[in-house]
Amino acid sequence: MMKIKDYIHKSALIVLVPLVVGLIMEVIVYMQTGGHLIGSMLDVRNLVRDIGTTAIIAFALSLNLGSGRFDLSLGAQRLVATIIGGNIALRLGFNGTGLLLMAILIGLVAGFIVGMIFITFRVPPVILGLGMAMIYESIAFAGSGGRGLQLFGASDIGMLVNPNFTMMVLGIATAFIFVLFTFTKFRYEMQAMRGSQKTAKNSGINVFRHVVICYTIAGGLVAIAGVFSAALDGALNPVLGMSSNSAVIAMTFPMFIGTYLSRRSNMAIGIISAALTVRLFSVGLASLHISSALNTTINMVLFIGFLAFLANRHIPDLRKRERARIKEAHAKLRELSVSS
Amino acid sequence: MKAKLIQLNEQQFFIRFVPIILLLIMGIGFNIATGGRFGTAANLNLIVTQAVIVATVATGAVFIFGTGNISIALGASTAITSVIMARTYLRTESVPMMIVVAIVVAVLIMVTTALLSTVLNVSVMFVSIVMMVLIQGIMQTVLGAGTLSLPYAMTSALTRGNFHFWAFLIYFILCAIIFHFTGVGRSIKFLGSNKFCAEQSGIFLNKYLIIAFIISGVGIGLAAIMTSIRTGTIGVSTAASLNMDVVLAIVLGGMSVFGGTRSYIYAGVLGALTVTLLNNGLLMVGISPTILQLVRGIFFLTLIFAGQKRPDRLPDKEV
Repeated sequence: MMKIKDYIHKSALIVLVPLVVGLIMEVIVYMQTGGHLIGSMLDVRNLVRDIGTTAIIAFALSLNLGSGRFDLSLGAQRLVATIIGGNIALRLGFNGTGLLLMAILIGLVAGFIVGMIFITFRVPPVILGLGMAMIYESIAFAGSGGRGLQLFGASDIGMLVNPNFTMMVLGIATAFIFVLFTFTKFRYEMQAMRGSQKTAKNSGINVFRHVVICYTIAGGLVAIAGVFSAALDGALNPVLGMSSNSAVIAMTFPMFIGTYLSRRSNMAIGIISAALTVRLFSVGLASLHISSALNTTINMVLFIGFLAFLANRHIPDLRKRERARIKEAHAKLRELSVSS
Repeated sequence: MKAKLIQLNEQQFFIRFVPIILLLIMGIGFNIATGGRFGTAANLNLIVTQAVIVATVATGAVFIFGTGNISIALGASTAITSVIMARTYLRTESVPMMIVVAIVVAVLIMVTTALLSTVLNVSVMFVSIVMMVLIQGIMQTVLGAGTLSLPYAMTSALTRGNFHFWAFLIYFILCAIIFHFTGVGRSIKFLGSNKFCAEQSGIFLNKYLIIAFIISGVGIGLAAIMTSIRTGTIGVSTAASLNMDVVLAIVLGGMSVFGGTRSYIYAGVLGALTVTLLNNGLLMVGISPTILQLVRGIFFLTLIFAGQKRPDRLPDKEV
């Protein structure tokens, strides 16, 4: 009974955070425009798709970022997997599911290559990410002749824009991450590596294999997000000059919130909750006719505030303990002076 | 054989001379491949002019890299500085004011980045990511699809007066003195080599991180002026590839991406020349801009692999 009560108490934050943010935005939007945050079924569909894309990229980021590795090539992996995988699938006459699976396959390969190079070169992940992003962006650009992935007029891919299909894929991805971070050996390896790579290695964990698995799964996940974005926009255009990163970097905020919330539940659930929270906030800002650039600016200011909170949240507790210790010392001194 | 190569790679003369030899080989190779067109005075002058901007930012960035940290907001900081200094000039029509504003604004941006990291205890890498996206968002909000244009008379006068070269030369000499002949440089290298040991000796990262960002800020301010007077217009795509070029330059110049004792102030300059020479040469040979990025990426990773000391374990620093 106590366990259930504890679980409900712990999980309350997961539900409360998006609920409170949604309510606040609803009130602001209603007061400013007279409309609602979610006004139609179309809004619901867009929200579902956005949550799907946000959560899947955040899952991918969490695999490496959780252990302090920021893979700056994730955006380029998303491009190369979606564009190259998508074009191969279209040429072979695959339907939407086939296209998605082909993109995932290329994404897994792209991630695996980055992981293998990382454990071979052993250079800082950011530096490796920059180099690999340059290579993958070029491959996506040159491999498609600069056209990218064009889905306008392509047959049998309608399911990719169906919110039910998005929900199903998001559900599978969430279940996969949930199982991975809850019931597998991978979870223990992840936690050990987060603490100390040296200790993890000494305790028998193959840290090199673990890192390659993280990179590989992340590559597959960003491919899913890339296919959904391409299906929604009708195309995914290749870019050069590290521009591919912006789509991924924007998801670091929900990823960090998700990681924080996951302390009360599970990584998968935490990230879904965070994705919903950030999306509701962004939808609210868009409803207030705030431009996407200003929306990004506001999000980044909040992000840095959140990072500061994460880095310093132990300080009030430390101060409290220190005050208690000083109080105790004073009491002992008083006691000593009285007795002498 | 492998042991001998590793031993050679650890020797100071090898570390210092390989980038120079590489630069010479590339220059000679491109000259042969283009039938002498690459080596003309006009083309070499163009390469040097293009390299000066990257070299200025890279020289300052050596101080940040030296501490073992990486900032990926250098290009974005240069771009926003260009916007503010251009607006200042358009309002005041004063060149000295424009120069002062550029340097002050850039230093303030960099100090803000450093303070956000040191005061809030957030890693430099995350702060620089946030700053990069934040600045891009501000640029898009302020400029939108529009551009700011500086008067031709002013930009050409500064170009004729060789502002680029004089500004770079003075900045480089000052940086070289600070980095190699003062306690600041020694402390930065010490922190990059072993942060724990340095802090046990009373050399704290936070203090030197702020100093490194201030010095880097001066370079960014100068680079913003150089970029603006070279192009004459400032838009959201200004200095878009600068950050990548700077990181490439530092690595190609022979500096360790982990910072520390293998940090040299000339790495930025040498690397900037190599990057510009590589871009220019490959384009003259007839390689498309798309493939150029691929070649740059492969070249970049190959040199890192060849030139960096491979740790026994995976890198466990924040970057």
